[in-house]
Amino acid sequence: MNLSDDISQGLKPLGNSSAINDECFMKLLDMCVSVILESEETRRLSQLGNMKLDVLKAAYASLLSVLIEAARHNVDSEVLSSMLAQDHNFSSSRAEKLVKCYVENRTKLQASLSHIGKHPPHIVDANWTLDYCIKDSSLDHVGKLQYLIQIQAETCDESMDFKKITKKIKFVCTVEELQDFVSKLKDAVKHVERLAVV
Amino acid sequence: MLLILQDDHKQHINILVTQSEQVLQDFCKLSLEYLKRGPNPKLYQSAAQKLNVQPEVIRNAVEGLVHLLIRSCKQKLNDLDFRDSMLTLGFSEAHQEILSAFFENKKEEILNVLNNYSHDLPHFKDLEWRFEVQLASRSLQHQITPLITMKLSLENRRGSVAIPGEQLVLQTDPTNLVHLTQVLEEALLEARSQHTRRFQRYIK
Repeated sequence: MNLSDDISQGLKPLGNSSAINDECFMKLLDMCVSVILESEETRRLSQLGNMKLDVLKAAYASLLSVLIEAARHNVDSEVLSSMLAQDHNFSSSRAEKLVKCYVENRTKLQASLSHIGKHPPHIVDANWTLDYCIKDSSLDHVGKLQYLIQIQAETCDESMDFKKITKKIKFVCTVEELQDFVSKLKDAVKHVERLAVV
Repeated sequence: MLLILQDDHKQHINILVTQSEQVLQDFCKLSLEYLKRGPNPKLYQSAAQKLNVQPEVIRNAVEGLVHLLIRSCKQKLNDLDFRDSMLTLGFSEAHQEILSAFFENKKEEILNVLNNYSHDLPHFKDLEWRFEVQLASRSLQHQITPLITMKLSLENRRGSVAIPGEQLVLQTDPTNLVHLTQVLEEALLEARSQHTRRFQRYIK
């Protein structure tokens, strides 16, 4: 994990309580985590106290980078703490606080990062109805079973600022076609299960 | 059950009643041609010259015959019903035999076409899948994410023609794959359930 000079520069005031006090530091940490997790509205930096806004901004950006880079490379807590202490002159209590926050949120941060990127729509559920067609406009006596299948898949809509949407894929199957479909899915399940055992 | 035709429909095929058996055979062939490839004005022109009528009369007769076949299939007339219906329309025994043979011959095919005409939703055609493990992405390195990528092929059916439809590439994780399989298996079981079978028997 390498940090650029700008980021290192921004980390300087965070290293001890002389420039940024403990309360403000914890608030900054909270803000960073919630921004990455997209869990709540971002607060304004100016609400954190009367500090120089440019210093605060740089510190915030640097903290954000540290958390993201650490999660991205799955950095060990010890490695992170020694890096903060040695390369960036963090006091042991400050480094401990940051590492604690990182360890607590690592899984969530990584889950959030894993969603970034381009994926095919991800299937999450399926619905079905079974119909018995009695009569239709072209045949007086139809008498056949038919499935209407709706598969739900989550995807990002590129036209709507990559908002997460659920795509609904609808198609019909005769009983034989559904048998074919299910047998192919079962094949896949069997294969995955066999690999899971190994 | 007899086939009941509208008056102008009757009028259109009435010209066939008085024709010879050979001519009726030819009209059956023209109808077949119509079913397969649509109307063919050139053929109607020459037929009209032979019978000394307007080409439009020929076309009406051909379309009338086609419509007659479709109606008979739609109502799933059995052979006896069809025979009686033809005789009621004024066809002779010999004519009726030709028409019955023609109907018998094409029944399956037309039924098949009619069966596929009703819905516009695409049909399931094929599913290909592959199992993969995502090892890294730009935003998250060192990961082991099992994924199943699938290609779902759909197909549109218009009558007897199958038009290749959308091909969707989808992805899922093992848990959701198992879930999807279970849900659809349940659906399959429902087709064989007592409730469904009882209903099918009851409605027949």
